[in-house]
Amino acid sequence: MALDDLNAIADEALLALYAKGDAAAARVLTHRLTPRVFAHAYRLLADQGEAEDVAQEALLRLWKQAPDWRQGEAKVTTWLFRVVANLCFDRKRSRRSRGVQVPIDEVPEPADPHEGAADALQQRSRLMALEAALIALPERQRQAVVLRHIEGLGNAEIGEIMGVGTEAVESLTARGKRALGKILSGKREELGFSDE
Amino acid sequence: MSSSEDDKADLALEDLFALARDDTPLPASQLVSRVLMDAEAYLPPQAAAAPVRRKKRSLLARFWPQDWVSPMGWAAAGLGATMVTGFWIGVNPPAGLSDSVAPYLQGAGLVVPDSQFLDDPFAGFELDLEEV
Repeated sequence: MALDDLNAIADEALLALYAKGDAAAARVLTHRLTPRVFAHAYRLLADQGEAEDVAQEALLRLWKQAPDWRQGEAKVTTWLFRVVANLCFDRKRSRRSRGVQVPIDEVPEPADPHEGAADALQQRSRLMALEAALIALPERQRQAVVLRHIEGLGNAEIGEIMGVGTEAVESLTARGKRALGKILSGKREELGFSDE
Repeated sequence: MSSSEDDKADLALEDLFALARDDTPLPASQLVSRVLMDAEAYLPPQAAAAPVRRKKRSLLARFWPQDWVSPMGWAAAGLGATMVTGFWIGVNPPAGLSDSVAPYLQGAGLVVPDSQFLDDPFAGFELDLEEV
């Protein structure tokens, strides 16, 4: 099947093709899912290297799972987000148990190609502030807020990923947002929100 | 916080979320290569072409080893032909053969001399055909 045709196919159907040994399906799935899985891992960990390791591990589990994948039971991305969250939280716990902590102020700032432009700098500092505030949230609240407000998923799918009902999702999201507001309230002027 | 301050905080958060949505962190290109290598390493073998359906084998063939069927078949056919020929020779023996073999068969009690039949073929049944 041509790559253009495969690009129009849903993840689940592509995974079924992969399970039948279709190398083109493997390429399309890799290019489609790797950025999404990596981005989610990065938002939960705020660490480029660790997020890459988690993304690779999560996708490796998907390839291994492909022959036994039950069509119609779960979306591939739902399954992946669940695996990514588990891997991220395992890493954070093991990091804590080894006594490694990344203080909020030391979250590395990625190189900005537009450095020098005032707006771009302000946007970058706003993003860094949000990243740092998210890292300060309890794991479940952070996961719920990221899935709802950044990944843009609905409560039902978030509930499926987190293994809870929609009411619990709403509660976690609301508490997460409140906590974020408190963390960021002292930085509103610094982030340029005071006059908006 | 007052209600208006809450609203401002909410708006600020929504702005931050929108910024984060637009600023998707990108993986290094090596990550995509590594993931693709994994995908290819675990790619299941392609399903082979549909196997040619084998003809249904006879019951005999199923229990009889394949390489025996040919020689044993010929042997069985030969045995059958011999039996049919022997039976036919017994029923309708060629003239020369009956003269030379008859004494042996009579000696063994296997053949009754024709003369007995010629005298009265129904003598042994004690039938009175005239009454019928």
